[in-house]
Amino acid sequence: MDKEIMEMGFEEKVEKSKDVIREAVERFKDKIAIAWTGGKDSTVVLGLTRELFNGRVPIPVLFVDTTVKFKETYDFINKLKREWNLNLVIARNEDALKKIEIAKDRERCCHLLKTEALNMAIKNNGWKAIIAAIRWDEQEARANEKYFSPRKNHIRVHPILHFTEKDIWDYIKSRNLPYHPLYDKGYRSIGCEPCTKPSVEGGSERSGRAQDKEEIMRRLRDFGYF
Amino acid sequence: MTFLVIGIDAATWKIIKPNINELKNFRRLMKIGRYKTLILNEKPISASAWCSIFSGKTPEEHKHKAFVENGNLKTRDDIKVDFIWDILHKQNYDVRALNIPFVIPPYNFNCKFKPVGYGLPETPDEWQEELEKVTSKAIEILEEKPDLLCVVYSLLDRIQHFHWNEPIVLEWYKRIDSVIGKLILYADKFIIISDHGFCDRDDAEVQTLPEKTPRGEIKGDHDKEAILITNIDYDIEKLQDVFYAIMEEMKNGQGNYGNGI
Repeated sequence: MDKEIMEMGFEEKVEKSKDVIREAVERFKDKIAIAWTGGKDSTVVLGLTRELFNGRVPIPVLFVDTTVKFKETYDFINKLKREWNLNLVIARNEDALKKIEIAKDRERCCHLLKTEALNMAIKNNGWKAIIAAIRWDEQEARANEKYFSPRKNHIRVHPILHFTEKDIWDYIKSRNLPYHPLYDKGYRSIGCEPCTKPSVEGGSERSGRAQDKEEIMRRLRDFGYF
Repeated sequence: MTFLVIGIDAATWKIIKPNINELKNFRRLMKIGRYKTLILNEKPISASAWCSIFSGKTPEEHKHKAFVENGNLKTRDDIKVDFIWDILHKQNYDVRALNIPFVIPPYNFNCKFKPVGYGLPETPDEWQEELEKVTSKAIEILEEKPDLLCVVYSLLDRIQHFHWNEPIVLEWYKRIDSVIGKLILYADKFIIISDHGFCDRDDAEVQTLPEKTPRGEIKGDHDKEAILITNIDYDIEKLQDVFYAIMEEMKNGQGNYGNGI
C-alpha cells in the first residue's frame, strides 16, 4: 500500500487510475479485458474507462457467471451492456456446474466457478492481461498488490488500488454513475446469492459474505437476550 | 455546518442531574441549549427505539421489535423503512451514521467502522475501547465536515444492566461526558438523546433481560424516561420527532448544508 497515493486528492486519484488503464490498454492492445461483477468497484472501473475513451469501453468486458448471482445483478449488467454498448463476454465453467453442489464447499465452489472460469476465459480468448477492481483497503490480503501484478498465465491490472470505499461512492456520485440496486438495500459487497448475506452492518465491507454470527449469538446469550 | 446527533444508549437524568457538577460538558450543553425528559409512548427497547429515532416511524409502523427474532439476528434489510441517512443521502447531503444499535452489530452508513465486540462490549476493556474507537472515528468524520453525523455509544446500557447503583456507573458517565466535549466542538447544531432511561430492575417498565445471566446478575433495566439536550428550536416530544427535527433543520439550513434540497 502506498500511503502517499492513498492520501492524494480525489480527482488526483481518478487521474492516477486513468493513467493505469491507459498504460494497460496501450501495452496489451487487443489482449486485455476488464473483469466486471456488476458490483460498485468494477462498475467504477468501467466508468473510468469510458471517461478515458470518450464514452466507449474499447476492450472486452468479462462477466464470470456462476449462475447464482442475484437477479438484480443480471438485470443490471444487461442494462449497462445495452446502454454502454459493451462487448460483454460471459464465462461459465459448464463442466463444474454439472458436477458440484453450489455453495456446499464454498472454497471449492468459488475456485471452480470463479477462478477456473476466469482462467478458461483468459486462455480461450488469448488475453494477456485482466483489469480487476481490487482495492488496498478492502482486506489485508490485498494490501501488497501492485498496479501491474503478474499471475501465472497473465498480468492482473489494478487501476483502483488506491481508492477507498468512500472514493468509490464519491466517484459514483460525482459522475452520476448507475450502480447495483442492492446497495440501496443495505448490502455493501455483492457476490453470489447463496453466500452473500443481506447485511452485516458494522462489519468489514466484505464481511457479509462470511459473517461470524456465532460470536454475536454467544454475546447475546451471555447478556441474557435469550 | 455540521448537525451532530449523539445517541447515548440508556443515559438517564437519574445519574446526570444529581452529579451535574462532575459532568461539565452535560452541564454546559444543558445551559446553552434546552433539555427535557422524553417520556416514551412505546416499550423502552433499544432496537425499536433507535429505529424510531432515526426513521421517524412508530414501532407499529417500522415493526422492528428486537435484535433477534425466531432465533435469527435481524438485519437492516429486514426493516422495511428508510432512515434519515437513506433519505438525505439521496438528496445529496453528506450524511454519516456510526455505530447505530438498532441491529447487532450496530449499523454504519457511509463510513467504515468495525463495532467493538459486535456492539455488545462485555468488559471494562471493551467499554473503554468502544468509547475511544467510536470517538476517534467520529472525529475523523467530523473533520470532513459532513452535513449530518449520527453516532451512538452503547456501553452505558451494558454497564448499567450489571452495575446499576454502583459507583462505577458515574465513572463511565464522566468518561462519556469527556468525549461529548470533544465531539461537540465540531457541531453547529446538536441533539443528545438516549433511547430510554434506566432504573432498578424491579421498578423497570420492561425486563429486557432475566435476573441471572451467564455474565452475572442483572441489577438495572430500562424505564421510559429518555434524556434530550439540544440547541435547535424544533419541539421534540417523542422519539420519532428527532427524525423530523433533523429534516426540518436541513431544509431550513438550505445553502449551509452541503448541496442539499
